[in-house]
Amino acid sequence: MSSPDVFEWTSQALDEATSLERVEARGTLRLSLKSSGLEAKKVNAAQMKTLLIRVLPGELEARGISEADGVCDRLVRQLASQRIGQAVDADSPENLFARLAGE
Amino acid sequence: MEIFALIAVTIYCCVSLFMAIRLIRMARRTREIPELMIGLAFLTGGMFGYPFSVASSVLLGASKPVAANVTWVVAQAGMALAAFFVLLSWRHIFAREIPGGRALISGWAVLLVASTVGVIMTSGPVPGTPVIQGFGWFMLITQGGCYALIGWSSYSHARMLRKRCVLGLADPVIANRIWLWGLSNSIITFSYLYTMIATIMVRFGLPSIFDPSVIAGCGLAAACCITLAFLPPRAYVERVRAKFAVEAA
Repeated sequence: MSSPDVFEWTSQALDEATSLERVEARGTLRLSLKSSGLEAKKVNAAQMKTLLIRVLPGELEARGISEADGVCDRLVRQLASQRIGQAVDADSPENLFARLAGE
Repeated sequence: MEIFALIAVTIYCCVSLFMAIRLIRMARRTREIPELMIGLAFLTGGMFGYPFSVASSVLLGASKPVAANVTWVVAQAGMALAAFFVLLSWRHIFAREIPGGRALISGWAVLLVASTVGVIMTSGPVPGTPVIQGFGWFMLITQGGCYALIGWSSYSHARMLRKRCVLGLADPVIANRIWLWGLSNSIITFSYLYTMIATIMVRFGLPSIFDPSVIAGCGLAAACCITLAFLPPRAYVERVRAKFAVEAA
């Protein structure tokens, strides 16, 4: 599965785990990704895990979702068991610029 | 000022040659296109385009019009090729997945060739002034646009990486390196913009503001950015990390 599936899976799981509507869940996730410098099309599982732990709880609390930490913890565990978005983009600009400086 | 321009051109050429050799050798090893394109851009722009352009002015000043014309043609071809390689590197680094990317590159390449051939056929080296004939505008826009595009894309990506750094998902040194790459390309874009503004002023009968030292200064500034990006001194890297740590805290 490619990286867009990570976003799709997470937004669907967020929709099911909270009282947010599907559009709200997707929007909240998109805003969190944007504020963290990530893109829905390219986010991988490791990046989403960090987002779920460090950014999304605050965003959910701001939207009146109770026990946001618990919800995000469950999503992290479920995401790990999905085995999606594991691949790292070796041709990303950051990997290329690391290579260009001989790192 | 002439000594400053000469030193600046020499530094830019040395940095370009070093980077060209380094990246082309790296591309032979990795078989990757981006390093090859950037390496070729340094080679054609930094070793043919820019220095041959300066040599053309010097030869013209020394009353050697034939030699000046030949070096001027080489310079135009070198600058067009450098812009084309920069455009290709943009495609392979920042725009791998954009729809119609191949068509965009092909179309832009046609414009680059057409504008360069047009300038070579209708113009020639002119002492102290930039290209102001008809195709000159076309050429400045098509070439400068390549640098503007990669500069803007670099800034955008560096900004995204800065946000990721806060979460520990990116390295601040890499984010700074991409920002510096954007800055070096923005400086080159500025030199094209400056040339265009100077030509507008001349065309409207205003006194020319064109000064080769400004272009030389741009080359020197771009060389500094490239050096800091790809051959950063340890002190600079530590400074970037320390500055980021303070900001993140």
